[in-house]
Amino acid sequence: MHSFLQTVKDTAMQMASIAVIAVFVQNIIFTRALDTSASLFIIRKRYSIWQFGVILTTITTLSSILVFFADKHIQRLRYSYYMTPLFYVMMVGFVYIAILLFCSRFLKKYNEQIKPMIHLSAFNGAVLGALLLSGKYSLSGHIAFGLGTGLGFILASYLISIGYDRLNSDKIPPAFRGFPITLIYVGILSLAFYGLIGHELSI
Amino acid sequence: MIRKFYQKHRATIEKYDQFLLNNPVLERGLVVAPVIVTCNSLQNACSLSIAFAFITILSVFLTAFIPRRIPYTLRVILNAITASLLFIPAVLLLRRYFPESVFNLGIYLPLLVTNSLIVQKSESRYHHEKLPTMLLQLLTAAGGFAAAVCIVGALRELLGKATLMGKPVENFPFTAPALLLPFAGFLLVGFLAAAVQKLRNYLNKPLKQKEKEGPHA
Repeated sequence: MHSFLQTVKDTAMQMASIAVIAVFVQNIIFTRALDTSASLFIIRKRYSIWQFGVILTTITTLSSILVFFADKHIQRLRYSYYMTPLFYVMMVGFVYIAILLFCSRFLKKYNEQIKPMIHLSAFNGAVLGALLLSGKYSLSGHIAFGLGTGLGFILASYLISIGYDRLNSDKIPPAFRGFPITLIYVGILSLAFYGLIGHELSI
Repeated sequence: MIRKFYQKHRATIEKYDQFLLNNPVLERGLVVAPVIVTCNSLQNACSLSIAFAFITILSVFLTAFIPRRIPYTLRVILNAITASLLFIPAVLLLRRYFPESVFNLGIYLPLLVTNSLIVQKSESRYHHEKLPTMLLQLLTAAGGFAAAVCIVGALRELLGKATLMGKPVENFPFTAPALLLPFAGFLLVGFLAAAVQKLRNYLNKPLKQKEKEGPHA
């Protein structure tokens, strides 16, 4: 019993540390620049960051679980590097269809509202990026990395959204207003995250 | 004169030009991740441009033949699968001409298969156009991407390492290695995007009566 509890505790600790790495050290926007355009799009369209983040987290986590089981077979292939994107895309596609079916069956009330967000979040850099980056982890690591990626996206999008209205105001010179100054703002936040990590990440 | 020309042919320019004013990276913020993280050398920029052009143009062209009666979700998946299949010859091509860059581009090379032009813009824009128009738009988009990427790559390599295409630039006065990091990519792309916006604002400024009439009036 004691050893079972210890195993649960160790796994939970390991998952928490991997999730923290995914949120802060490997933040999907500030350190990897993935999904920046989707984040700016949802902020501009005034979609709910939380709803989009939850959908993204769900797709990333479920795809990560599928990838974990398939990866053993994919990596055995002679030309695995060439085939990996194809298999990953098929698995994300499967999760994409499953989530759309689930929402149309069980979340009828919110379906029309969240459907565009599902379309936007299924095939984007964050999902495929998380799958490509989590290859070295165990099953619990895959799940934690998927969760952390989604949470990191929510955190980053929230930080961008705080400044977004000010960055679009008349106080900003017209040439910089909107997209250019937002990128510069993200760059400064990215510098802060780089200071937190203290070294360059491998790509 | 440029402004007058632009305002006279605005509709045509807006439709076809994705090289400068509607540049996928600098105006619309699409496919920025590989530019920001991996484009810290001209060689990486060149290989990324080739891979992007190969995968995007061919997959958007081929998926234009997928019947519209197939549901949107399945079409999107088929778009991504087509791009994943095109990823294979794209990598073989890069391995032949830029063997190092496949390693240098890391996860950002396979990520090109789900870029916004293939997954979203093909359905919302390109596939609604006639085939020649679509091809022209794709060519200008690929050209615009290559131009933006090469400017970013060359500037970062020159200022960050004092080299170009891996060869040292003699007597270059200083280097700022921080320019090779992702945050500098955000800043540089932000400043280039501001330059494009400045040009757009200038071209959209109303003409004065004298300018409308021309120099010989």
